[in-house]
Amino acid sequence: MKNRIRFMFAWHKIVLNFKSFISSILVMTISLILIAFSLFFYHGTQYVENQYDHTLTKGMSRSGIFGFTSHPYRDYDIMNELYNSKEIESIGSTTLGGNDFECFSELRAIQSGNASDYVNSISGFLEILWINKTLLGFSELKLDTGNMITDQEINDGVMYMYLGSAYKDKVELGTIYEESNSKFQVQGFLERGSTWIDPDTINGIYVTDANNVLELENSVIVADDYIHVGGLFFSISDGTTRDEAVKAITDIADKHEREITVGFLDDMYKSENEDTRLLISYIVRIMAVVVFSSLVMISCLQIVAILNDRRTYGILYSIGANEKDIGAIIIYENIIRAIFSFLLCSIGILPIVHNWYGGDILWSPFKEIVLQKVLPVVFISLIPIAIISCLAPLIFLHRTTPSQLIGGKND
Amino acid sequence: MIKLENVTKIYKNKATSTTALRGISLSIERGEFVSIVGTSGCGKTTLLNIIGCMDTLTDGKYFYDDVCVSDLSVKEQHEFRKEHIGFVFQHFELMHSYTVYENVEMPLLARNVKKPDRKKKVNSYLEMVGILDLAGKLPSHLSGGQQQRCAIARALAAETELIIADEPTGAIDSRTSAGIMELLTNLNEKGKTVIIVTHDINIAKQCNRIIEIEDGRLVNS
Ligand SMILES: Nc1ncnc2c1ncn2[C@@H]1O[C@H](COP(=O)(O)OP(=O)(O)O)[C@@H](O)[C@H]1O
Ligand SMILES: [Mg+2]
Repeated sequence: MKNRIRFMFAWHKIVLNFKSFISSILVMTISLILIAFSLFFYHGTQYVENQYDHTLTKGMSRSGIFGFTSHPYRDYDIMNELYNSKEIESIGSTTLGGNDFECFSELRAIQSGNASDYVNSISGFLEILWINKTLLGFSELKLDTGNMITDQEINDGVMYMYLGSAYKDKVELGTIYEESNSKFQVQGFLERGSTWIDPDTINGIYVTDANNVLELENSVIVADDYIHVGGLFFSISDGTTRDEAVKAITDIADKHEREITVGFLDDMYKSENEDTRLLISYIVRIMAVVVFSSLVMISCLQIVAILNDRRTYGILYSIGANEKDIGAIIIYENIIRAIFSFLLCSIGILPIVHNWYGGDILWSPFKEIVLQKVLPVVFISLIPIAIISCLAPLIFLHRTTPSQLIGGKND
Repeated sequence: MIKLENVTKIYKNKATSTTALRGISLSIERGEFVSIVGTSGCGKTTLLNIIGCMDTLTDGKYFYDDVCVSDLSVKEQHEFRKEHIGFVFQHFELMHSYTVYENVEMPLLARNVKKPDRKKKVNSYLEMVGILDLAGKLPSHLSGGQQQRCAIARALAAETELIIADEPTGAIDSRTSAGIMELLTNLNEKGKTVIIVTHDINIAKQCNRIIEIEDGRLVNS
């Protein structure tokens, strides 16, 4: 029998048993979505970790966060001492905030036009990522065009802006925005795909949440000199151990009779990640159970289908079909089933991931993760699933004679 | 053409075992028109299934020309069936979701016959059995006699020298039966070897030769 004919028989069988086709692809889709979701969860966590590591030149293990447990933050004596201690290379801070200057209307229009989430969260404002110049200095942010200037004092009253790649063709380099004694100048455009750690991370919250990586496509960065309320990043000088750095910081705090909390990004990440790891291990276990039981279910559905169709198979044998023909019909049926399930899973997984992660500006890297890392693996995992679900029917057919197939059903 | 030597068939279930054939030996030559008769449950269908290679035998040997069919592997048995046997069943066993034309086309599809040839052949077989005008209909819209004609056309489309028919008139009334028997007689005259099973002695009498079975044993051939 020609393959085209075998395929046609498989297709007809699906059309004729449409209900059982639907129920089996639903079972399969559910297990695929579970596989996809676990993979997504894994890669999402991985992604955040990588971005953390890459945002700061010193990496997660040499970058820390500290905060004073009692206010005020702007205790310049302490700050100066910390700045000057040899164990600490640099201190920086970052925060997200809005600005309603009239002069920003052009930027605001671009930002809200591109990223609806900005409009929802802070309508009327241009959301700006304020990054302290020191922090900018030890970050790994790269510019597509323009110059990153971090060592020059802001003495002429101009604050430097760095715009996300979305602004590149819409705003000119060197543009100055001016309003009530404030002056901002566009110094450069960020490389596509640049990311930043969400300032909330500094407070030690949300550390594992994938939302903590900001995508800077639509961001406006202003380099400033302030120490922001959000908290402080620091990086350790070369040749200094973590313990030495912590000791230096706490000594200075003690001297000023202040309490201070110090943590390193990787520790924070790891401890917060305990929960995530636990969650992943549960998801993996649940997934294994679901995948296994759906394989059993699919096999059962297949056997029921074969028993229902055994007369047809008997007739096919009597008209000259061989085991290969009938095996191929069954395998084609499963391939069609697998493809449909895969399509359903592909359509289903993006909205699920989107909803789960609250649909924010981070949407686009996650789409990439799904498309590049998750779906290909799901597709490959379909192959063993399809093979396993063919097994029961093929074994059944191999062990049955054509007369048993035809005789099994009397009118 | 066909030679059975001491063929025994035992159906084994978990609890019971039924001996359907007890040492049957017979031979059938090319061009014969044979009927196998006997009471219900005596083993006629079992015998026909073994000849048609739809079932395996428990003991004995089955030769088709020089080939020992009972020694063939499962795979070879499928090929043997495809090459040598055309089937007609008591309950027609047509595929209900396919038209008369498509049902008759099936053996040709299994044999990779090209489309224009398929069309020519299907039409000629439908004409031979006298239902060319019903080609586009679904089997369920046909009378019993017409369905059996369709089934015979399908057996013809297999283009084998042997046609075996299990109670071809068993599910249709006697007037229609006469037409079916006439058709089978015609085919035999055109050179096909035809073996039918029946419990109706009047039908059996229309064949050249009667093989009588009683309780799995040959009593007369
Ligand atoms: N698949 C089977 N399993 C067990 N017993 C069977 C099976 N098929 C037939 N038999 C038994 O074998 C005997 C012969 O059956 P069969 O060949 O169908 O007789 P006939 O066609 O002459 O009516 C009967 O006793 C029947 O019950
Ligand atoms: Mg019978």
